[in-house]
Amino acid sequence: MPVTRKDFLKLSGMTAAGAFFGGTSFLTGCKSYPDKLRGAKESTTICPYCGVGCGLIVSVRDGKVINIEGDPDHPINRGTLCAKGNALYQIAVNPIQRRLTKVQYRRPGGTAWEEISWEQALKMIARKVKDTRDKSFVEKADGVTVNRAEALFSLGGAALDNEECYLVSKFARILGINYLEHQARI
Amino acid sequence: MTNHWIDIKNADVILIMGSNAAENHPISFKWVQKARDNGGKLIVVDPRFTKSASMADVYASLRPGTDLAFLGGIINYALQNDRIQKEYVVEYTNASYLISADYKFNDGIFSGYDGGKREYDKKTWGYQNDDKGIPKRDKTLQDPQCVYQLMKKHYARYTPEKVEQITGCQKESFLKVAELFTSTCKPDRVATIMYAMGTTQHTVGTQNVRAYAILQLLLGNIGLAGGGINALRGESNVQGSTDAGLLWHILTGYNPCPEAKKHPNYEAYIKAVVPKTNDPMSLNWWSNRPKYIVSMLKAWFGDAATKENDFCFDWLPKAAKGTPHIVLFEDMYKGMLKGGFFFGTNPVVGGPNSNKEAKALEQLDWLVAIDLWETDSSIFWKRKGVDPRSIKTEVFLLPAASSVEKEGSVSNSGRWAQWRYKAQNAPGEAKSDLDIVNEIYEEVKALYAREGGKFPDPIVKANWNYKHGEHEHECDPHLVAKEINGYEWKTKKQMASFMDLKDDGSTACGNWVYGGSYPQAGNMMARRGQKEGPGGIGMYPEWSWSWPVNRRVAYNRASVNRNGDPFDPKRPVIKWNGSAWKGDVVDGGAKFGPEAKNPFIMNAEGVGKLFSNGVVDGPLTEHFEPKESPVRNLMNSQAFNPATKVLESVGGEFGDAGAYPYIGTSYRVVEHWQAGAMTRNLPWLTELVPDMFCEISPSLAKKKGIVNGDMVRIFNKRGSIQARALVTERIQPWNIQGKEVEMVGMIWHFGAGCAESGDSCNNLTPHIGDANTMIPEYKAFLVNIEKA
Amino acid sequence: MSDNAFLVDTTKCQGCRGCQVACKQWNGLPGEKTEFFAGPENTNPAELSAITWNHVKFFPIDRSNPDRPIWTIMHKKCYHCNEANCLAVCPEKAISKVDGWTIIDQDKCIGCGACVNACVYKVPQVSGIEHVNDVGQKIVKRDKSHKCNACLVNKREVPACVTTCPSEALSFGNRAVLVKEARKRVAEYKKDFPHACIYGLDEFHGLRVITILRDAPEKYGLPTGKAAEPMEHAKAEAIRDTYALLSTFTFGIPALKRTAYRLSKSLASKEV
Repeated sequence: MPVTRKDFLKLSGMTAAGAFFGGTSFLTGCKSYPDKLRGAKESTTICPYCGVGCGLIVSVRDGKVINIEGDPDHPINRGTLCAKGNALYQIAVNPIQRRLTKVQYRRPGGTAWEEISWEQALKMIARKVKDTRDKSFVEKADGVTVNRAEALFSLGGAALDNEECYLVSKFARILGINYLEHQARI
Repeated sequence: MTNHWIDIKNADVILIMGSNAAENHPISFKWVQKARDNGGKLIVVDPRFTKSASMADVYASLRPGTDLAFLGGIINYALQNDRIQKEYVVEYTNASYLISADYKFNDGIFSGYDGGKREYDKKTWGYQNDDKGIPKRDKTLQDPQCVYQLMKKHYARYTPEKVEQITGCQKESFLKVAELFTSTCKPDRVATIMYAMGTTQHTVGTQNVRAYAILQLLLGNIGLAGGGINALRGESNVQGSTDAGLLWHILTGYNPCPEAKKHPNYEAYIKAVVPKTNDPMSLNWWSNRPKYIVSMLKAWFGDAATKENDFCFDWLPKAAKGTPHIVLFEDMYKGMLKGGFFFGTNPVVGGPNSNKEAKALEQLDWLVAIDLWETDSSIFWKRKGVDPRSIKTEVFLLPAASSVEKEGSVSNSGRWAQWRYKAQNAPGEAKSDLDIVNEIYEEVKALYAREGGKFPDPIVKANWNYKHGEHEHECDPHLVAKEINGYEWKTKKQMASFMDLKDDGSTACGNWVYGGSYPQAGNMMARRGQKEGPGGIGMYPEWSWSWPVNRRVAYNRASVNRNGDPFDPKRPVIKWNGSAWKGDVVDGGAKFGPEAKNPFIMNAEGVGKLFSNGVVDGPLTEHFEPKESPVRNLMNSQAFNPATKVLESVGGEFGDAGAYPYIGTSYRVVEHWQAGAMTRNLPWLTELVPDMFCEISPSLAKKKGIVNGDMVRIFNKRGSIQARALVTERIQPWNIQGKEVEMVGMIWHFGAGCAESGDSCNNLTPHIGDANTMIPEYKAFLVNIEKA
Repeated sequence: MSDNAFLVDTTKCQGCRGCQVACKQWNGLPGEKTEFFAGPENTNPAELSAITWNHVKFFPIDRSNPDRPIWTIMHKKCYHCNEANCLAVCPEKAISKVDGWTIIDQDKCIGCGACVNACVYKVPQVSGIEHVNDVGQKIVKRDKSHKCNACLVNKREVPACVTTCPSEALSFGNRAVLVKEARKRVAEYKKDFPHACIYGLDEFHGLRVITILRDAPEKYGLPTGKAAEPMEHAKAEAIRDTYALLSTFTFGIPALKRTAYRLSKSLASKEV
């Protein structure tokens, strides 16, 4: 028996007692379903813009996002969105193709970006992190163990996921970074 | 937010001040409208007639930077007219507490001030204690040293006339606001406050928020449905990133970051950061702090963290000084920083005095920027007016996945942690920030393991494993989320909540406030339960997960009287039936009845602080002018907040009203977001707002010969920008001390990069900030304007 | 025939422009290149176009009551007139009523612009270029007339603009029910705004987009009375005949027809 989108999303939202968590659904051939989305795979997301936390449904066909609109079951926004939320599709499928797809590198005094591989970039970055840390590290100051990497900093994180923020926080502190700040301060 | 978005519908009165929610948090208005449909009234106080103002029942205009005069006026109105919730004030606030006889206030200065350091010694701001060490109280509120009487005297100076003279808001409009807002002093009438950066981005930002807290405590509005003070967060996860401790002064879960001077070792740290109380009525929740810190250290350093080595406490860096954003960039400017990371951030547009911040970046040896796009900040080396060949900084720009190209959770303003899913692969070689951090860590760790170096232990011995196998390429966000939630170290069994955490190293927990988000049963943040929940007040307890412990309304113990009956029976948050609590997850644990414990469990006294020694710039609020102001302070002879630090290096960067006679202020529009990379690259949004623009009144336009659509130049000592002028009746000058004071309002979304570019408003904003937080004074500074 | 209609309540609109973008998202319409603000206050682009089927207009603030300034923000799209001028004048019978909605059949449309001239609301617009959406569908065809189709083409139960509206400024449903609701609201609004009214009850024999206004329709540039009556049959017939006559000299070739129509239109406007 086919389920409607609404029912399916409800189903997938079974509470802690249930075995099934999450909001990914596969819908095909539902009768009342818009043609535009027929056969699309759907998943839920939360808007990346302001702090209201509106829910959206992302429809995907052949691995590509084809539609993003408000999630009617989300209790805060009930399917509604502002101009930005409605434009999220253009981040997923940017019509002017400004999304970055490759690592860009700018050498000292360089006048343009150069493309390098991830492998190369990670090796170079790790070397710089280590050299800067080793050079600026202060183990003790005024008799107190301080373990500071004084010339390193990390900035940003308000647009990242919680899990990412946590890793940034852990990464920065274990390196010895005190210059750790993000958008909440500004 | 103490409450959450849907809860706004429960309010009888909504005060939007220091925020333009209709524009910047548009969906909040769904719930504002619901409240209005139910008979609720909306008050908007704003320097501009905003979209929010256009929906208001009562609108009042005030000059930027005069919130404390306005709010002081409302506090005075409440106290003089006895429009307070007496039972709540006596039982749940420190109104009845007696303050040290040495406390004094004179001409804008509280006792303990050191003018040379611009600092207070807060000793005289404490309570008088009895012989058991418990604060003395006078529940009749008659003692001249009780907080209530001190406040009455302090705020008596904030008369409606004074409010008008300072703010420019006409007395009648002010009184309308004061009357309507304080009408919620009735126990079953509730008001909420929605605020944002219009409140915090001042040299008195923290005191602005304090004034809200004082008002809401006096009116008995905190803890109730439809009440609270609600900071509307501007980014999808700025709540979560703060919870994660991405600030110089905190570790995860709001535990202070160790500072070398204050906390030379673990013992001294614990002594300093764990508050004490002798009051049996106080739960003093922060007494649990050692459990949270030790569990975090265990999660970070694993087997290396033992009782014998203080769980590797000394492996954490100890700060030499405070390094908030402004200080970070001043130090970078001086060449003290050599390299670092930008995680989806664009300070060349978003930071204050952004010309200087762009120049500061030139001092770096290297910069790693991680973003979806090229941003203004990752291309500082090719900005207008500089020769790239003379800039030595190496820049790595790493392509990142967008929110629909990865899996993980974000926490909204209402503290709801909501899970989202990956819908498509990131374009090209882009990766999630999670994988990027992990891969950089692995490379750094490999280098230290191979070569050694300065103190490699915290890096090579870190408990860090978020892949299912060595050959997996991607991190599993679920493994990270499980560590954040916490688990028993030995059995790796997930914790049910932070109640089970221990300070002996037997538990690991990345961030205690998220304890319970991912228990054994599974990922609570992914829940989609549709039940509205108890009380019919829209708590949706089975939708996602709210910190702490899925509590939807913080300080909910304050919503009931000492018998446990709701002050507002129509909209009960919790209720005590004599032996158990019903409703929301009660604050402070279910075993204590309403008579047993005070409701404000995060304060050592257990009650709300009308008078507070928790801030650096005064136990009560006082109006000061912004650092740059066109008029003198009428309230006292201090020009600006006497406890705000002025960094030596920014001394010459301020101007006066002679050269720069107009108030500059900055704000956002619905069509764009923050520094603009996420919107200036989207044609649907640039169609709506394609250019940098400013808003000025018709009177200023006339004076300067500017017509709508003209290109204008706005300038001050820090910079000069061009913008299109929107001449609008929505902006009106104020009459202050006999002179017309005009304002130039600017959006701050534009910069030199991205598909649509324009000048950055923040070239004009100053490197000075709030006395407590050092959040920059973006909302009131001085500029001049002319036709370009 | 469906009895559905839209209700636009300008007193509830907060100007978030979610509708304007949601329409583009659902229908795959591109953004327009604009400069500053083309209309009053934040209005952008200036008006509806072949690729902008939903439009939010921001009127200058009205300070006539200093205690209660009014900032009217109005959602606009095709009003789907019950007696539509565009339909009456179309020489190719490309415009018809589908389920009560005024729909342009893109296969029949030849982009002559007769409908553009006939619509007093300036709704339909002929596109100069072709627009292909991200999955390769031709969404807006060149030299065809385009406008809101009430989400009948990319069919969905509730149109995208209404689904997305956060403050219930837009609703969708049975017209009679919505009219009743509108009357109830207006009675309430009159306490604060004595000239509050409903627009679209009788204009063009009833519009399918009815709008609640705080003030008289003229203040918002909306035609009333004679100006909002359907075109006389004879006049519509004459326009159709002129176009039909011209088409006999163009061998039925659309491009030739279009040129002829445009020529005749420009000649006609010169005569006036």
